[in-house]
Amino acid sequence: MALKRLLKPPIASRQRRQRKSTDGAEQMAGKRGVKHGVAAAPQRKAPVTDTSIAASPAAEVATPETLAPEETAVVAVAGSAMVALPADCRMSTQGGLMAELLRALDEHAIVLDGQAVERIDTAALQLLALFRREVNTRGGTVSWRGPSVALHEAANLLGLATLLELPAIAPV
Amino acid sequence: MAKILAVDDSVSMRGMVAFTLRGAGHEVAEAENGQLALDLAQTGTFDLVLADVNMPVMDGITMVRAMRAMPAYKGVPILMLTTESHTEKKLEGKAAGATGWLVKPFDPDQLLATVKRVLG
Repeated sequence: MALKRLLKPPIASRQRRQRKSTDGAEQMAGKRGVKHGVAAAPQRKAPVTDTSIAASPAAEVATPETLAPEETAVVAVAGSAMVALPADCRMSTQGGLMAELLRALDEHAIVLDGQAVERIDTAALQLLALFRREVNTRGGTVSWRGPSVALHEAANLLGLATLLELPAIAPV
Repeated sequence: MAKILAVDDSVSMRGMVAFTLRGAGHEVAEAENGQLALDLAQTGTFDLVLADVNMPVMDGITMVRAMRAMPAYKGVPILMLTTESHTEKKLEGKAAGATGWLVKPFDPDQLLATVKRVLG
């Protein structure tokens, strides 16, 4: 319960998200709406542009390539979930990150996709550290998919690379 | 379990500190700057204060100084939790009466271990 309170975006963040939506930035509101729609009607076939979430294993799901750069996405597949971190992964600009991680928290195996991350701040790294700890406490696992150089550098600089268990960057 | 006052102007950071501490069974009150923390400290007692350094209205070091002037808080541990890692700031905090220093982002287990240690 306490975690849900924490991870619920603060009012200011929610307002920012609403403002962002009304600004038309990446059609966040529309995509989130679809997400709820999928949950309510699992048989609905999502169009190609629905990149936020898929509630059933065989549904059309998001791929990092199809995501808008500023969007965090959760793809849930039978007990597992992938959270794609956005290019701008700063808490000051990504109030929705908490909510997206919360959505994934009930799954047993979670993949954090850090391929797209270009910027990340202390608070977001702190959130990821806390998220990882909470998942482990619940008996789940968190693994990484391609953490970017920027993510690696920030985590190393702030001494969280080990705690986050970031894998080595694959040689180019 | 202890009564802890978490002071930080960042809602998310304050929430994460509070979440970590509550998860360990502590009772946590929150304040978004040094002045509000002093107001809370005057109306109640806390076993530990965890404070950020850079905050609007009243920064953490000024808050520590003011808190140490309050008889009830002369011996209460005050930990500074901040992104500041400069030696000068640490010395300033120590001179103001801070018990210790933790750098953000924090390792949740390390935070709890430090809290346990200073609470004795």
